[in-house]
Amino acid sequence: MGNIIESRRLSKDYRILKRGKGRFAFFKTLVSRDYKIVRALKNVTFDIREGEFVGIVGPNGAGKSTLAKILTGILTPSSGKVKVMGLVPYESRRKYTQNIGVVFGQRTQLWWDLPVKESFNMLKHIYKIPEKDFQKNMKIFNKILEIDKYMMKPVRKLSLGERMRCDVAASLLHNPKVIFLDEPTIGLDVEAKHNLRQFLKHVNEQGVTVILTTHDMGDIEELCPRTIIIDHGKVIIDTPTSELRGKVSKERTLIIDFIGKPSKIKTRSGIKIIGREGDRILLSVDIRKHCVSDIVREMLTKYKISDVTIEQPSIEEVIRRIYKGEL
Amino acid sequence: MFSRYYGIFISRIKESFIYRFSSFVQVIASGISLFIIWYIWKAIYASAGTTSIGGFAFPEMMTYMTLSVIFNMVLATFQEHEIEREVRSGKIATYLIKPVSYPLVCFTRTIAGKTSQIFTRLIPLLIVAFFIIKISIPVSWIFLLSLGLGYLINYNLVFLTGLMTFWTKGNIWGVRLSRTVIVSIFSGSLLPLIMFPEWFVEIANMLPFIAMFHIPASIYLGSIASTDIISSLLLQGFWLILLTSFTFIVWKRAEKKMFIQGG
Repeated sequence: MGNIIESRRLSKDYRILKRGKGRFAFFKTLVSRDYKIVRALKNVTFDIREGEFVGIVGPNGAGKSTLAKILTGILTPSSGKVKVMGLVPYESRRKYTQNIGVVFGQRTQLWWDLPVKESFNMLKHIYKIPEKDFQKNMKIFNKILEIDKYMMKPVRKLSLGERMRCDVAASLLHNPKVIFLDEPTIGLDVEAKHNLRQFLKHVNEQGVTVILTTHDMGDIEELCPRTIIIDHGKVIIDTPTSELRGKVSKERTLIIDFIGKPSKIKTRSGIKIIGREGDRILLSVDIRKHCVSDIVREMLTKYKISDVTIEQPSIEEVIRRIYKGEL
Repeated sequence: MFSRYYGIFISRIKESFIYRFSSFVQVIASGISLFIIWYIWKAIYASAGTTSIGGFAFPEMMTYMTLSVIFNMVLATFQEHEIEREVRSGKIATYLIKPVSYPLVCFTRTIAGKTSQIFTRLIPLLIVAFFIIKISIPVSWIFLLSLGLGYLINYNLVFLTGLMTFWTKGNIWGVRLSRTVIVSIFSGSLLPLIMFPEWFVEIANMLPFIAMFHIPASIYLGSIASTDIISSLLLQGFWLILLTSFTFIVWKRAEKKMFIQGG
């Protein structure tokens, strides 16, 4: 399948009025035209194929939101070009938005004081959704998201989890080809998160391309086969999520529980003891030099062992280290 | 083209009925201001000792001032504050990601608000005006068309005020207040323009504000000769086209300046 999003050397500068210091600074800023240029995005280039589920992560202020706003047609980039479904989002916004869905986790698109049903009805008109498609989609949403229970409730009376379900359903009502989700799981409890993720997986399986920006590494691990990491306005990593760990971490930790007092373990190059607590020993194995399963087998045959756990660094840990510039 | 906005129109009308209490209070407020105007002008005529001020007999003056209250009610909108809120909170983004034009969304909302006010505010006000104050009936019904044009001209100013948020990045309350004062003086809604000095009237005639009250009110009262009605409407049309084009240009610039706050 072809590329649905093509981003080429996308940059965005913000002009920020410089504010002086001192008592008369206020009057100075009234007349001064002294600007500071902040580069929010620098030469961002990537392609996304039709039907992909891509996670975009990065620390606060990294430029994720700016990128999402350019992709959804809200902001115009300072330079570079982006095409989604063959259209330039910010140039043909009205034609373009007919085929995309957007969810802002921190901001609802539903009408606060009116029953949810009313917002859905409004969207039906805005996107000119045929009655047949509307009913069909509502049936699917009711089945999976069970939103029919609170269709008559005003949005302000919904819990965050309920509201988010409705918001996600609302963004899919018009059968968009691409959906952009900005932190959709923020603030949700474990159960609500799980439900939402299941639903997003289902949506992606129907062929919808999903772009997800998030801080929740669980979202990335569970949903996104591909991860793009943005920091300081640049794409620093763009890789299959499964390789993210391997790419940055060359070690595994073996947690070995001995029966009785731990015997003396012979260490060699690539294997070192990094901790001891009672009957337990923490062993670090360099996967470039050894195969972890060989080491486990060796331990089990040589020593009396009750349990072995293999730990890999969590994605969260990996990303934290990437942000810190350690990797 | 407008069918996309139908849902917004209907939802907004339903929403306005949630705030029934506020409508009720507004009706009372309009009633009170009518009675204050009544007593002030009664006192002015009594102390002047004449039956006519600026060519207006007392009943004519009351018709004029009541029209001012009614027309102001028709023109009034808080859309600029809604725009300000949406720009500052970033909620405007939720419209930009949909296949609609934000200026038309705002316009749809004011029209919907007005439609619901026909029943909650306008009709009670008209009952008071015609049956208690006993204002005269319109000389020419063309005033309705003229008032419609005045409404659109006023809406342009309101929308432009709202867009100021993109440049002030903050409160537009001051801008709105200045506009309200200027409009009420130059449109003739505070006092009939005929009571001002000639040079002032000449300035007022060169500004768009007379299109918002003076012209429709004069057509209503018959103080514009029927042969001059066409040219007055053309003048309103001229201002409407000019202002709408200007609004369009400003909106295009605002779109480029788009800064979406939060998240």
